[in-house]
Amino acid sequence: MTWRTAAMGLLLLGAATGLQAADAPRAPGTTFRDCENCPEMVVVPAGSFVMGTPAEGGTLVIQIPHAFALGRNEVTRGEFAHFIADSGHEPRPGCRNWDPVLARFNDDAQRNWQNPATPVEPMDDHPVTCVTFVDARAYVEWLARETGERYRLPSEAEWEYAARGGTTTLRPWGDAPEDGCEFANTYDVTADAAYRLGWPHAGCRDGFADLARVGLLQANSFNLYDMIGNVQEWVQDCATDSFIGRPRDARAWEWLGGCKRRIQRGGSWLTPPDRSRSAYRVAASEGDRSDDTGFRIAKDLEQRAARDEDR
Amino acid sequence: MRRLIAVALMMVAHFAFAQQAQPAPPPATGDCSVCPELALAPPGKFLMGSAPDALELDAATGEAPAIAIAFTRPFHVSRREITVAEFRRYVEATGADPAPGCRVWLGGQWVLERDRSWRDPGFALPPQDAEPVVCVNWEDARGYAEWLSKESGKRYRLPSEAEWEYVARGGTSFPRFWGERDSHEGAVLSLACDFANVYDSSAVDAYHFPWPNARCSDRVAALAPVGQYKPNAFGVFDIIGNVREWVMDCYTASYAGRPEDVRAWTWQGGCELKGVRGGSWASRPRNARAPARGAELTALRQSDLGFRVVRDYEQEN
Repeated sequence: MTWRTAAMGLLLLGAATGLQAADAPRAPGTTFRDCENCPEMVVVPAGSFVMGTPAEGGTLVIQIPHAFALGRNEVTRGEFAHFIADSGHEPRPGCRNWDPVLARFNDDAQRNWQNPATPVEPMDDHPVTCVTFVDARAYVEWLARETGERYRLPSEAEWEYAARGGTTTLRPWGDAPEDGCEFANTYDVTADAAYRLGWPHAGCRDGFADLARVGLLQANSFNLYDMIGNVQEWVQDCATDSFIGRPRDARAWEWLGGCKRRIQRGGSWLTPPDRSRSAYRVAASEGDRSDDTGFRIAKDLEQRAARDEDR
Repeated sequence: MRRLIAVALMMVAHFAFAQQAQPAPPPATGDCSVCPELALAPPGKFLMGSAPDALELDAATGEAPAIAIAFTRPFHVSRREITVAEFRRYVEATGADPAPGCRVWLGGQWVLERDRSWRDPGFALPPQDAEPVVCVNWEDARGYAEWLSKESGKRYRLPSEAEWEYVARGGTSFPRFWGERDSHEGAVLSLACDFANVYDSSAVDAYHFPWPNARCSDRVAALAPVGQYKPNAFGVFDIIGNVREWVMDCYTASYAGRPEDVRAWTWQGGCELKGVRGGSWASRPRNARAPARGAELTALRQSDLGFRVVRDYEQEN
């Protein structure tokens, strides 16, 4: 065998393995990007888990029948800026934020996603805030168009499944809020010193007075950052007070005729410890926006239209 | 619309259920004609045991410190405690009839009565088919599981202590799956009676146990037919209360050194003390908790002690 045939063989081998890697289902926990400015995604495995706690009015076993991808981070200001520049989408101006003079949350017409009240110096890798559900949905629709991939918002069940990462405790790191400062930017000693919001803090120090740039704390066991804390995240589901009748699989719970209120998950940098939990849920109007609310994106990995087949 | 009908049906069913004096015997699964109905416990991980500062901690039994256990595979567990009717089929099929002699509550203490047995544990009324079987020792329980394995060709066995506690918590980290936690002795466990047959105000007059009760009413003094109270998220009934349940593990008063996985902790040469879990209709509130641990001699038969079975998961197509 000459070096030439050997080299050819190596080339072919390389091509073959390259092909294989592209076609093979990606392993859970691995990350990928579909384009240069696309958010980094993590493969989340199929599985099952128990959604909710008694505090949520009940618990429910949910089957996640297929692996899917979830944004490793909350969508950043930099990523959102590409969308705005490319699509011409115009978010509704104004943003709700903490007003230290009035000592309450206040809708401030001067603020918007480019100019939030916190942090003082927003950077490209801070999560985008001051976005409504409508803005978040417009972002995933734009990304799906641009890439030809099935981007969407996560369902509430997918979100909690991913946040738990196989845990049954109240929080991904255990039950105790004070053990969480390596994992989550919640209302902690640092935030309390700066903001004095008047509610309990986590009892530890995460080092961030308010919004943190994404991915600075420890990832959970599914390789996802900031599921708890930093910004609360829009999910696809309509808001309900109960799990009775909800789908027991990965699908979002929506109904014909639509709904005006959607669920937010995970809490933010200003959320007190009793709400900074894997199962905690908040309802908000589709048009609400605040400087501690953002979103992360999801993507179908299966080729087939699994969501309709399962109905 | 369909959801409305479903909710309406559930309400009707709930109402009808509450009115029913004796529920129908639980349905069989597809495994075999005599096999109990199974629930599926999903994969997950949990902390077995209690934190050292837990209010209800029984330090002497070794439930602290807690130990992290991961289930990479799901497993099946019987939704209900094994009933008198189910156990009778086993006895009739195999002839393996437990010998008489059972500890019952008499004159203010547990005493061995030679003529009491699973056929007649000495309650006010003879045992009903849908009540959990009692007066069965660890070997009787294991014999039943082995018989199910033969009948079905699947692997039935007693739960390991880790499996039992995982099921009891039902995907929560609470000591009681319905969310009540950290009650002091003598405090009211107001929700318990919706979910479990514990030592409560309905049992006080009949038994006068010298320990606190849950101070709610579950409507029965002693045993309740299985599946009458609300299940946990895994669909499992009566995992707390009704009868204490045998597990596979040898008992040790500490988790130090135990396998940090789902297997039962047993050793060569066997052991005399086996784990019992979940508390019963007679147990004080503190013992009717997912992390609470008990131990009994392998040969003990008692009128508040029964069991449930687990089955290994097989990929189904």
